[in-house]
Amino acid sequence: MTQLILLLCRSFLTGTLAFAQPMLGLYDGKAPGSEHRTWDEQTETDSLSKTRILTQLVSPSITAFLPDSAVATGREVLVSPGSDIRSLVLDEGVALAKPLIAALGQPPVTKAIAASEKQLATERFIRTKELSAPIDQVPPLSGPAKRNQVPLVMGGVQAVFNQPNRFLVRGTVRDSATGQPLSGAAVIIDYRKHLTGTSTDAQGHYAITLEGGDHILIARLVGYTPVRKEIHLIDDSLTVNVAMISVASQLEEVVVTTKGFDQSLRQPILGASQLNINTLKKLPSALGEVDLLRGLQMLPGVTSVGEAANGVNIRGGTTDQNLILLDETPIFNPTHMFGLFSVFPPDALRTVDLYKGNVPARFGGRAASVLDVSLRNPSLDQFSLSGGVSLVSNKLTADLPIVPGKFGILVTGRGAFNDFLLPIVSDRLANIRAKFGDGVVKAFWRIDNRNTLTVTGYASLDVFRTDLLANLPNVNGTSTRYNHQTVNVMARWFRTLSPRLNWQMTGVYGHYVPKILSPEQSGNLVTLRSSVLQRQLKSNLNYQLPNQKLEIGISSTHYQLEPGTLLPGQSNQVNYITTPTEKALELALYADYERSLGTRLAISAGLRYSQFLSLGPSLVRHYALGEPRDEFSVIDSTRYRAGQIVQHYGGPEPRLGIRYTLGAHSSVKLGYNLMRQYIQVVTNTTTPLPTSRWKTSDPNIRPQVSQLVTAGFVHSFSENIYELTLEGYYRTTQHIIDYRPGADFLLQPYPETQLLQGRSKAYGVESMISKKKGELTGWLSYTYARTLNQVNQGPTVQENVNSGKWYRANYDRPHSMNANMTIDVDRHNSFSFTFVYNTGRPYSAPTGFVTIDGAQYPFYEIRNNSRLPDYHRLDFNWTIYNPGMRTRRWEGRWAFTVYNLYGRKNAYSIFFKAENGKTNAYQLQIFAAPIASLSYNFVFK
Amino acid sequence: MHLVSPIIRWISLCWILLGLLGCINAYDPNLTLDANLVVVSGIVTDLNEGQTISLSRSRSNADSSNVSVPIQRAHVTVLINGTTRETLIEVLPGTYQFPSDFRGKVGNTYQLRFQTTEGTVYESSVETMVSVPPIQRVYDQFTPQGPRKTADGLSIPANDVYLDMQDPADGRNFYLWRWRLYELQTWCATCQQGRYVVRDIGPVGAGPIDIIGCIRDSTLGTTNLFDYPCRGLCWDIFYNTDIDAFSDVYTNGQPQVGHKVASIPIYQRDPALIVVEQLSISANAYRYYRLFADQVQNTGTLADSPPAPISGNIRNVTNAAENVIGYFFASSVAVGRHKIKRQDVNTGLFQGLFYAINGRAPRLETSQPGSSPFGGSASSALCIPSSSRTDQLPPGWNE
Repeated sequence: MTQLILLLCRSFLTGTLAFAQPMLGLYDGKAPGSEHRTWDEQTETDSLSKTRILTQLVSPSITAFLPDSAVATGREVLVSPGSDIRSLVLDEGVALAKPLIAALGQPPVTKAIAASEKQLATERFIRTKELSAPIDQVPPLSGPAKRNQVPLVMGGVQAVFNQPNRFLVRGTVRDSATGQPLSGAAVIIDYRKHLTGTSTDAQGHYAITLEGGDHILIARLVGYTPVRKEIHLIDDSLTVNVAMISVASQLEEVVVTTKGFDQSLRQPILGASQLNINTLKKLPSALGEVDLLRGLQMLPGVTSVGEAANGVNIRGGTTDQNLILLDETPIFNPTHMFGLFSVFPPDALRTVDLYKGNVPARFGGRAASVLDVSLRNPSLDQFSLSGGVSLVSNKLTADLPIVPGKFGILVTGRGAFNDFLLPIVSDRLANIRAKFGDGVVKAFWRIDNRNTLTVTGYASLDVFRTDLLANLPNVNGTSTRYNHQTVNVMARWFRTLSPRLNWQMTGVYGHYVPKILSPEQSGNLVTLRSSVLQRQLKSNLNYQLPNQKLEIGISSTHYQLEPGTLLPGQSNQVNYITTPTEKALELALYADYERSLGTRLAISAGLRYSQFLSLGPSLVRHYALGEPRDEFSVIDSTRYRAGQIVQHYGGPEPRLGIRYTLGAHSSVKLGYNLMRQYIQVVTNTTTPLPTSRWKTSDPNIRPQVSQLVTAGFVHSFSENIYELTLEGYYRTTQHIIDYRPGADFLLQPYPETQLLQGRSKAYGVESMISKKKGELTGWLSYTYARTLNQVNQGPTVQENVNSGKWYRANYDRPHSMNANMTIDVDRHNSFSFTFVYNTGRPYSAPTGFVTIDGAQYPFYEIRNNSRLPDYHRLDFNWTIYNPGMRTRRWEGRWAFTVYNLYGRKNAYSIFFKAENGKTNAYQLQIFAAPIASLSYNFVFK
Repeated sequence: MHLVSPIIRWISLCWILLGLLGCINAYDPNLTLDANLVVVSGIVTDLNEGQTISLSRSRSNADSSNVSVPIQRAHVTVLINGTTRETLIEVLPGTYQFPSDFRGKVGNTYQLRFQTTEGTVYESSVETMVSVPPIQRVYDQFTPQGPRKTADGLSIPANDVYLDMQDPADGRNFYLWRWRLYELQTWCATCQQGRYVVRDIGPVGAGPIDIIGCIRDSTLGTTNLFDYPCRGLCWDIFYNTDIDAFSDVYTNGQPQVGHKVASIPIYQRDPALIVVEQLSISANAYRYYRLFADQVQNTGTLADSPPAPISGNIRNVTNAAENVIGYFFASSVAVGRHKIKRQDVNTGLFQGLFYAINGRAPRLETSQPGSSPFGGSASSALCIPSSSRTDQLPPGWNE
């Protein structure tokens, strides 16, 4: 029964002490209940504390430390050393007893227990017996079975000896949300459960004595996330209050929020969505790969041309009209494997902000929206490792605090190399290659209390080859490979000038290099290389007052674009051909001001003034007015020297957002935006290829200017559990880019001869209702949106599209509906369903057929005159958190996903092919069957 | 995890690949058709053969997707060097032939002009015949994974045919290739619910014969097919249907090695002859063919270009908005002949052309009970020359 009886000292101690202590056995022989125990008591030395620990006690005893009779007061103090069910920390008692004796004759003992030894011991014994009763059957030496902490009496004893290097730490443990004190929470120091630890009382209070120095305090309670705190005990006692976050509230984390519940009501800006990273991780994903761009497409107003789209379309914008920033560095190609996966490292994401309505003036350079992705900072005090294995990729992330509290590094990497298996699966697949990888190194240095320095490095690489992409024309290659890589670096110095004022200086480097490789019969690789290099310096000041906020800044961006160079390699068949490098400078000054006027009205006003300078060296052609631009209409050309300003564009970009609160639960908002875009992708494919050409504005290609008007209504009800948002928008864009039939931009020194400029209008209504709290969370959104373009530069088919009438953009999908439902069944299981419905995108169908020499071919007359079948899909995800429930340092998460649950054969494209003298129609599907996948992710702290 | 993961990876890989490769299905587009287009097909060459231009009208509407009607009794002329006018004579409905001694000449300019019976006049741009470098070598390579017959079909084994040539250093050159393939055919006639009849005029089996052809035999089933072997040598002719246009924009003045001109399915294991013609075309003709190829054959990629109306170089003189299909041009032609020996081919049947085309084995009349009442001589048929068949030994066959 009593495998342990804790009392001071055992007989063998005597020999080790300076003078002999009398020892009283509590029982004659073994303690009641332990009579049949045959094992021997053992002493172990704890590796950390070097204190001796007694285990498997059967014959409890009390050792008396008697003071010198001259100073003896006659009082008795019973010291119970720390213990748990089966062990007793011997030296702890000795360490207390000795100073106690020595302290006699000095200030009186404040709290002591006077009783006969026998009586006390019996009381103690009874208490222990009760505590240990439920786990009586635990055999000895069975390893780390669950131990019940026995409250120590030590706390009461501590003041007896004011030993100079021991201090009292006390505090209260509360629920972070409700503020209720939590009783029974274990408080452990330095992970040493059996040495130092206590638990909170009914009022949530705890107190513990510690040696001076640095410690880690850990509070744990079932149903709450463990809290770890670093404490520094120097010269005084310390109060450490702990707020614990309930696991339940973490599970029911907000689904899609616009910066918190009431902020979506209060914030004056419209159409700013923050995608919660945890929500993202719970969304069913294709092939188990957590994917930001696919997640974003669950939001109203965000669509794409299909599953292999190389980007998203936001409120009627093309993919290149979205400014995509990863820790402030530009992402020119947001996808891996030709649109199947996005390039953002899922384990390092901190926040994802999508500005599709009001865009703060600090952003500029793109016409439609801003996707601002920031990566989390490395932890400065705790090492952690997380990673995962999915069918597609393997990933690993490490938080490395190098100098605790000062300097840390976050390293994350992801790689997909599974294509080596393909030839084993089938010989037919021997020609497929698809590998990708990306990685981030982020360092954070807290220089002092006022200054921090952040440096982010990001790299990504893709190697891709498939029959589903066209070969490099006019080169006798046997196949075509795509290879693209990104290297981005950002450094930011943040300085607090005063509690209200801070300053930032940021340097950004972004380099994107796509290549098309075409192997010749000889094995030699012919390479078509292009690159985009962007270098940016910016600086901004932030000033904050209770009801207003001001940010002013300046930014300078230098672009250097290599539109294409054909590198023959060892080939004697192909010539070295290059196109002139484009250089340009984009300068901007901006100010953002946010202020609330009274309780109901808030205004966010921004103004950006941008100037774009197209720089030499370059040769600019002048074309005859009123004629199609081609080789024949060139009338003159001007050569510009290096650094000379060839052309400048620019102007003010006002941004305005107004919020008016209608009551406690609803508000209306209005917004206006003007944005200018000076760098764009020129491509005539439905979705840009990773190798598509980027082009800066020049005298012949004018920048795109977009204006957006939005109005919105937000209403929350049932104590903010539900939120309803309604937004309408109308957007016009000048100088959008379209293409002449048969346009070819490859190595084209004068792309203006291949393209046409026109205008675009987009309008829509977006509605969304979301349930943000509870075991069941989710949202339902419906969007009606149209995007129409008009291109009319002349009367011939070479100069207009659809005879100059308005036509549907490639991504014009009027109706779309998204629904998500996540059910958190318990702490370990959560289920999630998503449903997507979209009108099919437009495509051009033949308006007739022609017979030439007996063979039939399609004939096209009207752009985007037909639509693909509607797109819909249901996905399912089951996430199992920490299934083993083992040690809390290792937290695992399995995600089982079925993408396209009912196997809908959604068309990615419909195409017509002349085959064997006939024209056949086909549909191309990307994910035409239910795709089940399993992935595993872990966090180790 | 370690056990489950590889298995699932495999399964998923298969899925991805099926997804990326196999997921092309036939689609019924339910088109709204409305087109009525003049189609011109004709090239002036310097080949030593009769030259023709064909005119037709393709109509598509809700009732019929494609009706092609020859444009007959048109007045067709070609203006040479802006001075001489050659008038073409209609030899077949819609097919107009140059005088038999007409040959194109490098450096000359040609302009097509025709007037339909309704009085509409069409005119092409002025095209100059450009010289073309010779084909240096034509060769083939067997590939077990050749082209697909249809986009949703499987790859079939094929002989890939390549050519080498030297691009001239001067100026920009544009090329168009076409080819024809001669395959030995051993079966010359098929009669449905009938029998093939020839009558010996002279001595049986050796003398001249009188061809009567398939005579209906109502004692046979309506679907009954009898096949008759050829009396002498006979070749089936296949033509390219794909457009192969090339520009020396990246390769000016360089030798071109390994340009793939054709992928010939293994119809049979017997040798075949391919005749490759290399044409030099103008920049505009190149653009036309390139765009045409992108719209009709290079489709189905992950990033297709939206198709657009194609305008050739023929215009309605009075109505510029009318779109005429086709490109009239003049080209010097270089010819390369190559015997595909098919010695390394590990698939296909000997004398399997019939099976490859018809998907069934030939059925001899004599193999059936109650065979021909007309005697054994009826069991072979004549090889009747046409655009897809010849009984004349193709030049280069015995090389």
